[in-house]
Amino acid sequence: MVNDALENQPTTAGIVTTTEDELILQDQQMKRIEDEQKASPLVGEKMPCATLVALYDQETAPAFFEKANELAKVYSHIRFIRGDGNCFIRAIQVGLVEILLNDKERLVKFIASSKEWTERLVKLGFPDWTCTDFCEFFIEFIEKVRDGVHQREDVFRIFNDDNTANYLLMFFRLITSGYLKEHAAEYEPFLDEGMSLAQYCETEIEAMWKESDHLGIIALVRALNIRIRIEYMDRNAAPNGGTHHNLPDGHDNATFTPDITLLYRPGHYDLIYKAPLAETSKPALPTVA
Amino acid sequence: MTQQYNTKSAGVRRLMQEAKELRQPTEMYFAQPMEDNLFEWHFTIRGTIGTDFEGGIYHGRIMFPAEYPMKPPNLILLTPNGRFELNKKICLSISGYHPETWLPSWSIRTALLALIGFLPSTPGGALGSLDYPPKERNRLAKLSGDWKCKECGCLMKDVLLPITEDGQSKESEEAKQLAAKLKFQDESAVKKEVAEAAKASSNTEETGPPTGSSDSERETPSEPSQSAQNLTENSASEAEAPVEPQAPAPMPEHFHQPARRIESSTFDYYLLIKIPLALLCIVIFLTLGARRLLVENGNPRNGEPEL
Repeated sequence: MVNDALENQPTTAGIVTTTEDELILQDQQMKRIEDEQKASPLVGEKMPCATLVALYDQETAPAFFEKANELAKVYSHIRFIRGDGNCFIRAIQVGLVEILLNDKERLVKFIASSKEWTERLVKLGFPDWTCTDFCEFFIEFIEKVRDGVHQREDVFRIFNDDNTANYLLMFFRLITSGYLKEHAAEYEPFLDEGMSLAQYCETEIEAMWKESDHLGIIALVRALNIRIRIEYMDRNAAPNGGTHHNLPDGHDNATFTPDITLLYRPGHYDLIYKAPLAETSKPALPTVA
Repeated sequence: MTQQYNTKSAGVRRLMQEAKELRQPTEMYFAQPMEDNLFEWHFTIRGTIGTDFEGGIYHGRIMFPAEYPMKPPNLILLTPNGRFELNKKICLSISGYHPETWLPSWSIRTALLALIGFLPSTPGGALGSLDYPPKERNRLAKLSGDWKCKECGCLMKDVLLPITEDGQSKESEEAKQLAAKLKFQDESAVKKEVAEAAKASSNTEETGPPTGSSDSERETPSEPSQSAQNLTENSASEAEAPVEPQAPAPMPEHFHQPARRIESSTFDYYLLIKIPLALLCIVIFLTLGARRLLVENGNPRNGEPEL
């Protein structure tokens, strides 16, 4: 018996240590990926599209090089967003707040709809006071933009402060989840069999660092009542097989004027612009020569 | 205390609000920040009636990452309980080891309720787990009332409100549900994390914009030669990870979809985990037995020629 116990001990201890080692390795690996991500800013400066072209070599990546050149003819600027799984939502948030900085009327409307969203989330039964806290934090921020307390440079400083920026981002994740839950009957059929919409929202939408898939994208666009265009670097990636995709669906190119345009490269979104925002009073409108 | 922190920081603001929410002890839990550190708290929880932990009151530390609530808190138990090792981070999907499954809208209260619900669950070889027999757990539960925290000085039996039938049953029900949900995620989370980490790293290698990769190279000049090594080491461990430590793991994968559907009815799930566990124990036992036989048989043979 004594022998048994003695022999048992090192073995069990052995099992635990391997698990621990692996967890530590896993942690280290996650940390390494995180550090790599953090090397680039959350929200980059607006840069000429030539920067995008310069990323690709004509010899080794001819398809991307060509596409980058095509894009550079139509778009003048690009703003890189950190690839941390939040890039789609962050790009939309930055793009939208940029518009609101130049459009007071729209800003006022947006604040009203954000407040409405807080109530809608409470009605949907979102847990605790923590959810409303995310809402209030965002509304406080956007009201400071309205009141001129946060100027343009403050806004971008805040968007680059991990802690605060992610807190603001959570509001968009929550309304995405809220929109899906409000339209559960419409969206539930798109989920993998056996997964409920509530589970999907909890694991894919409300959790940080989770990339947005098509459902998350369309829900956020509709929750915010905005129009976006996604330009695809890789032609095969576009759902309609074209070079770009308009959301919400059902608009043809001639009449569609997107509020925000995103560039999609495999697994990642950045913001792209047709003309410098500051020069146009209504930034959503295309420039007429 | 309030003055030494940047109250504009979202995390600090949130922790202060949570401290306010939790100011009054309940029947089941109580938690407050340390006087000198908002990012470290002490908590006290009560074991659920009808489990091995009935009558037990347990104390521990919560350590918050700077990114809280975007990343989960780490929990550590200090009172002997027979379910979790002391002074070791607890491996729940809600605590630091599995950041993927944490939701920023969860709070300290959620974490404590999950821990209460987790106490009576089967350890399943999880890191930092103990599987003491019920008798020993009962004994420790009875002793816990007189346990005193050396750091914050509180005596367990004085911390929580006295239990009433109503309060306890309501909150322990919530705890049980939470724990059931989290435990399920715990099993799949490890595999998923590894897979996603692998995916993420391969993504950055394949498609990572040159800006990112060149920057990151510049950012980590301290260990340029190591990083290559790490890469190979890590990929090796990735390949092994899902197989080695969790012999019962193939099961959750197999039952992945149905398990999601019956998530709230914990009964089936526990059975599903117990069976492979029992099998695993038998395998370990047999291996040990075989080893011992071999050693005993081997020794005299080795010994004879010498004699």
